[in-house]
Amino acid sequence: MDGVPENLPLPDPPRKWLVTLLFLLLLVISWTSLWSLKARHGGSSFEAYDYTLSELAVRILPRQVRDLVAGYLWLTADEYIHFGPSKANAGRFLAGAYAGNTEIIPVLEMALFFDPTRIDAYAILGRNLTLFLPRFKDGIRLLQRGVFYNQDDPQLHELFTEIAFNFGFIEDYRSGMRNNRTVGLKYLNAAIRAFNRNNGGREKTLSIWRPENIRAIQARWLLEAGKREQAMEALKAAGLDQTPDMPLSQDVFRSLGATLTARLSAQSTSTASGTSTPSIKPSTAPSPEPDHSEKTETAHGDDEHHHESPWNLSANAREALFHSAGLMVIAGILFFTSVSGFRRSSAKT
Amino acid sequence: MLRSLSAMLWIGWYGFLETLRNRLLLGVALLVLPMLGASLLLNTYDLGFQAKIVKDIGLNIISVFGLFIVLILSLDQIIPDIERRSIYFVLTRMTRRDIYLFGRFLGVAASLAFYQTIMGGLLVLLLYSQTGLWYDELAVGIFVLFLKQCVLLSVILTLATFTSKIVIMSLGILIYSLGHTYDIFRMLAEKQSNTLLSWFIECVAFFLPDFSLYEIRINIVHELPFQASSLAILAVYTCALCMFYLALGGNILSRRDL
Repeated sequence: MDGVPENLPLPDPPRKWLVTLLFLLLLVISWTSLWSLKARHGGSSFEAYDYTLSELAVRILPRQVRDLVAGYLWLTADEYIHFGPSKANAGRFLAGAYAGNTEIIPVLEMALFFDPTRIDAYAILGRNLTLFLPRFKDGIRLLQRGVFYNQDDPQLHELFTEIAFNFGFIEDYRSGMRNNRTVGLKYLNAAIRAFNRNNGGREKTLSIWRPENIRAIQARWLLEAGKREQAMEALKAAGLDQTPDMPLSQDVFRSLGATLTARLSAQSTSTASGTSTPSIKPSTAPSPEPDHSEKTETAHGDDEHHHESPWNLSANAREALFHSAGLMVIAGILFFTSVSGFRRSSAKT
Repeated sequence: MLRSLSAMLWIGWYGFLETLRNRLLLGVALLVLPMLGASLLLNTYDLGFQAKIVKDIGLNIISVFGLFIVLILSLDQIIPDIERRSIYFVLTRMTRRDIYLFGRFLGVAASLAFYQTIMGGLLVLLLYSQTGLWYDELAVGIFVLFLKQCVLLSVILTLATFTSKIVIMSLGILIYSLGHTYDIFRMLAEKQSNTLLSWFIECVAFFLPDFSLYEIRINIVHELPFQASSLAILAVYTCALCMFYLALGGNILSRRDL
């Protein structure tokens, strides 16, 4: 073949230092983009929290799987609440109420372990620990953990308000503990800020921790602290305007409580559950515990459940018996045919 | 008749001994025991031992382990015998092939009962040591689990008489999942008011096991009362299903050219 030299010169091999440099450059670019993205989109980073080995192991699972497991556990906790205590805990808490229910605690803890973004689970677990079980610090730490994990969540203000509520009304639930409304006010402010920052109104929830209710509590505590002007502003922001010459006394808050109760009445009918969100009583402290009548009703519901077991005879007996009889007949026919089939195949061999 | 019964029992007994020597199974059993013990770690915030969740998790572990036993052991029964041709030595000594299948079923069922009794006993003792109370309803729960897994075992042994291992696994899992969801399909057919579809579902449901009847978890975990007659009927239903599937498997095996 003309024109094709027999010995083509080989191209020069790439210089080693250039390859190494390119490799390092790529590494630096990927590292920088990784941490830039993390910084830009927020969320938790590994440096910000001491993860245990088991938490890290769970992080390996895809988020969808973790959500599925957490959802199942959340439903299980709901089931545990409504069926009431086992014989080991008989009489310690009521069916249908989460208050003092120790059986749901490991279930909810596991749910949060798999999915740390379940705001409702933090709220119920935290309230149960602080107000109804002697674990105030643990409850507050748990709610703070919830705040840490859900920095961008539109429901973040609910967690802040839960903490504020626990600090502000602990006296009503636990003897020997004093309210700390100064700290509570700081958390209420944080709640309002979180609501505004995370656009909290974009998700319609049935929670009573809406800004107007948060402002109402804020107004009361501010008034108690002697900050009348700020209290007026808070009331105005809550949509409960007071004329400047009206005395801000306990009577005012009674009427304010009545207004809040009227607002909440529609909500309480739609959440007829023991796990329902806290209710605000008209004249005294807002109480997250479901009222006695609600408990009694739920307990009655569970008593009925006890009598009418989901696994009862009447529901399935006829079907199972009919099914069994039919299958036995077919099994008999098959036995006979298997004998004849075997004889035929034996005769062939 | 007596000769067949004796042959069936001997096959079952040797099958049981064979499974006890299965190292894989012992490994799984050793894995499960610490898992049961780990339920003690659920005492978060030092609020005391919570019996309900331990019962719940314990029953689930026993159920999953039973499922493993059924899948691992039943695949190791008929197909390897045919492949290694050791089945010929057994069949030359008996008149019917379906007796062989029944014997194999008894062997795995005995292993299932053995392991479930150990695990159930351990769970009851664990609960007693922590709460000082006997949770006798767990015995019923484990019995119902045993019945459920016997049905699945008979289905898989039947499939093993004519298909390969991979098909058995796929069909077994399909039948198991389908057996828990008939009511959903019934509801969907009812919503669409499609009589033909309803009849089709009923036809399928007649021949395939309905595992939703064995869902007794809520009664056991929440200590709800259950009726003894329901248990008796469930046992009858299980016997009928197992007989049906084993007869079907025996029939197929009898006609198969080995």
